[in-house]
Amino acid sequence: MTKKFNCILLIDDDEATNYIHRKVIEEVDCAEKVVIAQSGQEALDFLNGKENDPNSPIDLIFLDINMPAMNGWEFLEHYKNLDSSKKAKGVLIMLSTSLNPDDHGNASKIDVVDGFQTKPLTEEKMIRIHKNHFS
Amino acid sequence: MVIGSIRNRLLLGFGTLIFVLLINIVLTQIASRESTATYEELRTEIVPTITMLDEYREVNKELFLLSLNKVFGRQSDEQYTNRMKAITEVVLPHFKTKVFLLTQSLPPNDKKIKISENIIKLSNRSITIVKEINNLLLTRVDYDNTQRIGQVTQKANLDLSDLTQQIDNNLSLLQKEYNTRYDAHQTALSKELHNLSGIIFLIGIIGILLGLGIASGIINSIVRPINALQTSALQLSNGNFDVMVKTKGKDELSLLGHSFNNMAESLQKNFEEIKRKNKELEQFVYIASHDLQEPLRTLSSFTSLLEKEYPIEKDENSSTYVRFINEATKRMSRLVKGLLDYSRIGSTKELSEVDCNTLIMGVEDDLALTIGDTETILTIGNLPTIKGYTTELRLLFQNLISNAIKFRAKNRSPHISISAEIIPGFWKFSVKDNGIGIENQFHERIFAIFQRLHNQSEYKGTGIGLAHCRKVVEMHGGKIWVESIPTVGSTFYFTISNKQ
Repeated sequence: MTKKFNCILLIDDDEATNYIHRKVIEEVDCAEKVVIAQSGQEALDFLNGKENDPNSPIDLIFLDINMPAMNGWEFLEHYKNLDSSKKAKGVLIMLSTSLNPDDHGNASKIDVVDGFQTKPLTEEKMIRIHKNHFS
Repeated sequence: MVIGSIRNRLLLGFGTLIFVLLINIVLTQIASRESTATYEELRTEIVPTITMLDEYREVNKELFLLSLNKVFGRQSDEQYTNRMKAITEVVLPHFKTKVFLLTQSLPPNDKKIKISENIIKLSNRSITIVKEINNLLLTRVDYDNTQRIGQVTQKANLDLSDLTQQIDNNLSLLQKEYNTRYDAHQTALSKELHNLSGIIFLIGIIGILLGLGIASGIINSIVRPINALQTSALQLSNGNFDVMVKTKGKDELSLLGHSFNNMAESLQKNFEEIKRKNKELEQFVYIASHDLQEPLRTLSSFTSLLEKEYPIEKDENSSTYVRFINEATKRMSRLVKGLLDYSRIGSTKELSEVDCNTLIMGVEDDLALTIGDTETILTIGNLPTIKGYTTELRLLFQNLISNAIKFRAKNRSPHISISAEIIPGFWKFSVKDNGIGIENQFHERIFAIFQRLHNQSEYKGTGIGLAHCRKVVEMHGGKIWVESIPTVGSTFYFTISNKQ
């Protein structure tokens, strides 16, 4: 890979999913760094915290819709109000296992959301996302 | 407009009644007109005639007495003479005319004509005689004339006396005739009035009977279908969807009956549809419980085999994978079981007396291991015996107690107190813990199915437990809610109806 994402943030409550996604990203070798948050709150804490390093900005966020306590939609409400320096420099993609087409529709209505993918993330999907981002 | 509609029937009924009343009025009018005619004849002809004849007789006698006085009492005053003149020239001719007029209105063969003619004739003669007497006795001197006195005496004593008597007899005869007529009319009148009241009574009775008949006919024709509808509606509400209302004719009620039948039919269809759907659901539950569990068991069996027969501890990745598979399988198994339990709540509905103290003791036994491991202290107040569904209530307490243990604070062992108090219409239970608590914003959401507040890595679970609890409480006509202070503890309250 010539160009890589500086940092990818994975937000999902399911440990196995996060594991798989990290593995896919590593296989495709498209990111310098992968950060995992197991809840919306954890993700917000990360974005607001010191670990959100401007030298290694977040270029891509994968956000799960169905999570306990703060779900994907609620996370987006908080995310919108974040200082722009703390937001991702690149895109935010929503993820869902659900086959409900409403989720896709709802996702496309939100400005900060750049895409919608069904879980799990595969290498093909990751390559396509990478290509779209750097072309 | 539909023929035979209730509107038309009512119009017809009232129309008939009005018609009967009209006939009544017309008949009464006709009958009373006859009576009126009889009465009028009495009033305008017979009574005045009798009175007139009385007066005639008086005047006739007066004239005779005046004449006698004139002759024998030697009364030659002008007053006397004038009165006699008045009678002979005005009063008697007037009465004569009246009697003559009477004869004009009578049929030709009436014997009253003969009598009347006699009266007139005799009166003429008496008038002539009285005039002769007056002419013979003009002055006082005439009384001294013996010849004249002789003439006058004879005229007065014999002729006039005789004439007066005859006139009076004839007048009396005529009067008798009219009296007879008077009586006859009087009888007729009273008879007619009697008839009239009879007719009014009869027609009235017929009218009332007819009215009653029509009214009861109309009422019946309206009430009967309504009763039929009501009976059918009652049957329908009791779940008998085969009911059909028999409808006759095309009136509004028949249309209503038709609509009712259509409604019953579509209800039956829908009900069958629901039954079918329920069967499908039961089938689905069966698939979930059996068919879905089966491959899960296979998965966990073979991962166990894999772990056992191919020691992979050294390969970190493989062991992670197997761990993930195991965890996912267990979670799936829990989810399926939870779903199955949730769908089964209330399927075996049998109300019974439930002693909550005994119930909790059973739950304590079931959770004995967990309670021991976590050093949980359970404080049970004096709980009531309530009417409810045993299995479901047990599940409710079990869920709440195991939640209280599961979400315990890390730095202290769980302390759970359960108590109950009576409030109007309900028993209010509380399950209080000293666990991690729940933030305000989640107090509603936790009762929805599959809603969780934590990661699987923090707390395992399916998100079904409290949804379960809510379903059970609602089955018992109550509500469930939580009051909580994060990091201090939560109290779950629920109410159970104590009616029945």
